[in-house]
Amino acid sequence: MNRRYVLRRLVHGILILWLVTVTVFMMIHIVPGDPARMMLGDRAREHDVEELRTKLGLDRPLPEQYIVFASGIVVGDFGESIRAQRPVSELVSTALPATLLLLGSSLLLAFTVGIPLGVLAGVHRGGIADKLALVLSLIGQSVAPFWLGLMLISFFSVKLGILPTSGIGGFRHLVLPVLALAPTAMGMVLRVTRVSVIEVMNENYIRTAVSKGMHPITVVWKHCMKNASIPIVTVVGLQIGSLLGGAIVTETVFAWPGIGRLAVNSLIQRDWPVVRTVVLLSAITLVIMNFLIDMTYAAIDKRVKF
Amino acid sequence: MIGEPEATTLSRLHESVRVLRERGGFAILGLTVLGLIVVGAIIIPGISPFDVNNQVLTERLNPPGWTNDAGQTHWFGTDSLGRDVFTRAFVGARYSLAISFSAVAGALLIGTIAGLAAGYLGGGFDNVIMRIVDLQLAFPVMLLSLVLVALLGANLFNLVIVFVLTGWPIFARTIRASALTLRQRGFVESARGLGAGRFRIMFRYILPNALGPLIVVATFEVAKVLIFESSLSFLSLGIQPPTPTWGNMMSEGRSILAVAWWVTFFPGIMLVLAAASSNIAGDGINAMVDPQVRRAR
Repeated sequence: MNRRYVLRRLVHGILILWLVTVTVFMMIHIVPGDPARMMLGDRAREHDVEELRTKLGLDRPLPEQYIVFASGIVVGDFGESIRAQRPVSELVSTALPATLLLLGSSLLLAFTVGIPLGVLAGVHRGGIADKLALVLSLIGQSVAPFWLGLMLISFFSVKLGILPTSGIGGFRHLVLPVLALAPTAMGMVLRVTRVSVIEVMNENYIRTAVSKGMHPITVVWKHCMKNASIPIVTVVGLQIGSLLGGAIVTETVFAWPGIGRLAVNSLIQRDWPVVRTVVLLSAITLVIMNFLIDMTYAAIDKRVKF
Repeated sequence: MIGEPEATTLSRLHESVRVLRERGGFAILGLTVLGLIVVGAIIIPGISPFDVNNQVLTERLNPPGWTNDAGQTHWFGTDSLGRDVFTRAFVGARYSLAISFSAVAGALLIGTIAGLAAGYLGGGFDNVIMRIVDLQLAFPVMLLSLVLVALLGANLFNLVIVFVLTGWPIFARTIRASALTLRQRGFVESARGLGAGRFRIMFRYILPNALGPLIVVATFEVAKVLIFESSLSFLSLGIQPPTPTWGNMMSEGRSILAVAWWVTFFPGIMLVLAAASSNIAGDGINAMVDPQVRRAR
């Protein structure tokens, strides 16, 4: 791997991380009006607003506020929630496992369904399997997860009464949220798999393997998937952000106690320190994720030179 | 010399018609369904016998196809206040479609200008634009739009502004990539050699040849913004009731899901239909303009 490329990419990543902190910090200040007043609402007493302003340091000069904010990030101190009167880091770390469980299970389902279907579609390009797979991926990408979730609740919980409507618990609680969220990712995985398989199938070494008498299934799994897996992982990695977006609404529908519901509730309650931290942490995660994907890509694919 | 450009345009038109006939099936299907929804959104609220916000408390929660004493049929049933779900769903379509179309148009405009300039001019300008794009793409679009709408206040204008703000980077990236390859092509170099100015080259020579991918991205973006806007509305952070949107209708239907599934089902299925038809159109147009997909089919 080219050392100069890694270094340049690292500097770029750090620059973006810094810009992310500045953007998140500035968000509340670009809005017209007094941030403290906005958080407490119009009916709050002037005394309380004044107190909050002092508590959040909003009465200090902006550069000073930023330094306090940024140095807090470094040591993992994200301030205190206005409503819950607890450290934001505590709220976020309590909610994080639930979101990771939901995202992880949805991705797992998306891969186990999407990859075989994508391979099938790619190998039999233009056939019935291909057309069905494309329709499936199209529906997956066009359905809003929250609507699908409501329909699933209406059928499996209300009508049949076999699965819980909301909350977190055992495996049974996980089924419906995952079924609601997974189709978006599944559609994506299917498409990318199909296209990569089609591309790889046209390569000379595949033709060689077929013509020397190798069984088609062996060719697909041994040669084809090895090479098609790089773009699949890359594209899906880049789409984690949109999956997170779907999780926000899905969590709200199923009262799933994760980061998404925390963000929405805090937004509605104008609990800015919590909202700010969720935005900040998801952006930091995406930047780091992007960096890792680029690095893996450069390490695996020798053609990537910069 | 004078007749020549017309001849080129005409032969181009012939070529387009041929491509449309051979591979345009999906594009036509998608655009037709989307067009029908648009037409429905324009005329149905006007010709419907029911007023969008007219509450008839004696006719609450009636199932789809129910006909009242006056012989008027509620095709999608009535909601918890006795309002006609059919009429409301099509009024909701007006808001959802208007927001989505104008936001994508705005993002397309800004993204195209920024990306074209970045790709053609290069250098420091390119650097600044692309860092802003990178910065924005670091935030999950859904989360960013939620926060911005909550901070700015939810109204039609702010929603469009927020979706333009969150949507332009993808267009900038798309056209920048095309501009980078096109600027080295022979016809651009000869135009430059003949003394064409920067703006002329960018908008007269590069842009027309980079339109295909932009249109494809735009159709996919319409579907995305439709879903984002409905999600915001559903979370009660979008346009507020009693103005109907698909999202807030589903939000109202959520609490009565057990007794009246239709209040949630119909706005949602219209959203799916609208999003799917723009996605199909995007796929179809992509198949027409992208030679690689043409080969793969």
